[in-house]
Amino acid sequence: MACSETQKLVAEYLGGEMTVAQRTACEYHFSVCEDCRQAVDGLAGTAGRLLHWEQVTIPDWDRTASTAEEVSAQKTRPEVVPLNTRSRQIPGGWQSWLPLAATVALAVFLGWNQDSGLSEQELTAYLDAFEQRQQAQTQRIMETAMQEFGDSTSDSMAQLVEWIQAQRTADMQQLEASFQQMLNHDYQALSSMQQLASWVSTQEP
Amino acid sequence: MERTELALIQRAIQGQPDAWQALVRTHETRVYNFGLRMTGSVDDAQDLLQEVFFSAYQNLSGFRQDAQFSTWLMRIAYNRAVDQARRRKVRDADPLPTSTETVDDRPGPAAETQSQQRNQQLQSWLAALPLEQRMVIELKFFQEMTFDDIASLESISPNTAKTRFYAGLARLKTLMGDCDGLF
Repeated sequence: MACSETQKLVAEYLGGEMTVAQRTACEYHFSVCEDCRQAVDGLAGTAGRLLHWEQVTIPDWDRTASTAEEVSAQKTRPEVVPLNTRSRQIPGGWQSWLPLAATVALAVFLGWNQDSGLSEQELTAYLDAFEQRQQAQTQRIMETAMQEFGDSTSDSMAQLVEWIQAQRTADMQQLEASFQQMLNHDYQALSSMQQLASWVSTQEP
Repeated sequence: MERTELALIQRAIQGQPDAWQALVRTHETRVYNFGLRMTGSVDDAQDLLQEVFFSAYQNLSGFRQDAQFSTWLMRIAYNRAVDQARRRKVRDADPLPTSTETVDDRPGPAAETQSQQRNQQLQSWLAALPLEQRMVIELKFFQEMTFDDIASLESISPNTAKTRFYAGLARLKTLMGDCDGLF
């Protein structure tokens, strides 16, 4: 049967908080308790390895930054790491699909327009449908983000929501501007479509 | 607390930057190494360093001068480290930090390289612990706090601190396995 005192005794023994008398009593217990003896023998080496840490000299850094106004403004905000940096990316590289989607939409529309002469009403309907799809995508992104950022503060979540919404709005405006530009100039040739696709692709943030 | 340090604190409160920088220089290595072990990453340790001293400077006027400045600073470091871990919780589930994040690749003597490798290995093992176990191991072994002090800092019971300490060591033992090469 396992000793009920093992965790407490071993922690106190290896934690170095015992008096000499306590250590002596504890060591006697270890000598008669197989569970505790095995535990302390195994973990003493582990604790010893931790003590191999060698102090690292700090690289050069700006010691005055902690008193600077701009740092104050920066550091008092709840941090929202940009989603396209470091390890806090939302899976799926969701930003990258937007220029591609816009490009495909332009290509489909242009081909459609050349074939059938798309009216402004049809264009509006198409844009509405595209926006609905994008809203659904945003919803999915938000659900993923909510799971990943479950422990974030409400402020940082609000910033995240605001940021994603701004991205989505900007992309829609860009897409609409692209369509409008196409209508205004009455692009007819495939080369023009390719130029448009290329132009949209270069807008990737 | 040393009179010199108390004088520096008082001068820093009055807005004298050289006094504040002297305080930072005194304690920065301890805070930075705490950050390295807690985050497993040079980048995050530097971020934590900035956050800790920024927070300390902002709250310096509220420092009780009968307390130890180092203890007060490490309490801030603890809080900032917990905040940072929560913000980057996803990283806790990630694999161990990559070598590019943890290794200082500046050329140096072989002995220094070996100590860097040992530190890197220790960082990796510590990074694999749950935050609550890593924190107790850090506070006990490296900050040399008592279980009562750890319990007070973390708002847990001393027995919980001991249980986390034991569990953390047991987990580290498994992680370390038979790795004797560097130690």
